[in-house]
Amino acid sequence: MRTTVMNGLMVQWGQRLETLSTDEVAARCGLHPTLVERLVALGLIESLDGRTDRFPPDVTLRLQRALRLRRDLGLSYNGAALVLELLDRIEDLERRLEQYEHQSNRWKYKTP
Amino acid sequence: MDFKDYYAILGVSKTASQDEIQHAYRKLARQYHPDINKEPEAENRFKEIGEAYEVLKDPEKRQKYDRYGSAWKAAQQSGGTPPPGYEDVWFDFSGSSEDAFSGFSGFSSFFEQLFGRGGQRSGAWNNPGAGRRDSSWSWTMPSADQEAILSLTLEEAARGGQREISLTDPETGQTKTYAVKIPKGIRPGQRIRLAKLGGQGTGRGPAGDLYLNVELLPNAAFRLEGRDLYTTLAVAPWEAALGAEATLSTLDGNVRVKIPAGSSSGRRIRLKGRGFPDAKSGAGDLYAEIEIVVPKSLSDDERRLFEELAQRSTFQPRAAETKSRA
Repeated sequence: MRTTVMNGLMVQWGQRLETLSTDEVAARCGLHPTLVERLVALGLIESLDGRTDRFPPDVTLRLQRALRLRRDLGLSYNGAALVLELLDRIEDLERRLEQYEHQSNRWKYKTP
Repeated sequence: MDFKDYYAILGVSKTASQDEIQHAYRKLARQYHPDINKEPEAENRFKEIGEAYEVLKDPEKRQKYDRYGSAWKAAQQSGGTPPPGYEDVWFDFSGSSEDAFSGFSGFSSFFEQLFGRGGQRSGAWNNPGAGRRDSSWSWTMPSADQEAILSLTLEEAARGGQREISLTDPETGQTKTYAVKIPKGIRPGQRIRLAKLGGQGTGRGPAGDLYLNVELLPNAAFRLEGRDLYTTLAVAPWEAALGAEATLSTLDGNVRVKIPAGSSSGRRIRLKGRGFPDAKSGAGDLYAEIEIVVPKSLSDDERRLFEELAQRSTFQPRAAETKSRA
């Protein structure tokens, strides 16, 4: 089997990373650029410093998630944005809960 | 091809009203939507639910399903062929979009035999090629960017390095292996982007990217909080009281640490820069939390000494507590 070596680029670290313009985001997600602008105004996705037309490349993942939620569950864009925010919060809480459980398990099961 | 009990899938009775069916569907769709439910089975469940609803929401389709569905089941159980007259049953299913709840494409072959495929009037039994396309159900949007989970041990994430991942091309079925370079000090929730490894773009669109969402596997010794690591250091009561030196394992080898005299359980010893690496702001710190442990059984000698200590000591461990309660 052939193995190709890929350079993984970390998205969140401000290393030299290509960004996407509104038009590029629109093209990648199959949307009209005006709709992308509307979704930015709605706060569903955010540009890199909140003002310019540059987006982190993984913004497309969030956008697609919102579009699927809207399509499959009959949500409005606003509703989809709310769901995504709540999902982020749940994820954060789950991570914290995991840490907490890790800590308390240690006290419970540790046998010196 | 298996018979699908659409009523059972939606958890409704055969006599359920259209309202009840819609209610059951909406509830299950919210529960199993793959963007909401992370269980690996959720996507298949969601697909099934969508298919069941597609049939049962439409009185005409539902009637056909009721009629031919049970005959189908009987034929299957007796090992026979589908019921006679089957080849005349087709339904022009073209993904009506008047309902907001209709984002489905690619149904099971059972569905396609029963109702035909979208846009093609060909669910007929005597045309085996028609309904048998192995439908890859797509709940994805046109964009070709995709994501996957990459589980790493704490050590792998801290050190970085190479990790092999296998990707199967859904069209050709070929599996390719890629060695992904993992940046040193990657943390849970961060993403690695692999350019052009996502799905095919639509039309002449460029190939999408693949994002790997990093997750950390649980680690018995260390807990990660931000850039800092937490661990425990077990000490004997006399070590805690008198102070001592102990060996502590860190992510990069063992170090000797000083336990200050008079350390109670919970006291943290900070080892600067021994935490989780971070390319931007330098490594975090390692905190070793002292935990006083006592021998489960005492030797005669130890018992005598502890008893002597108990008699002579004036230490009142609960004094502060009692005072604050008063």
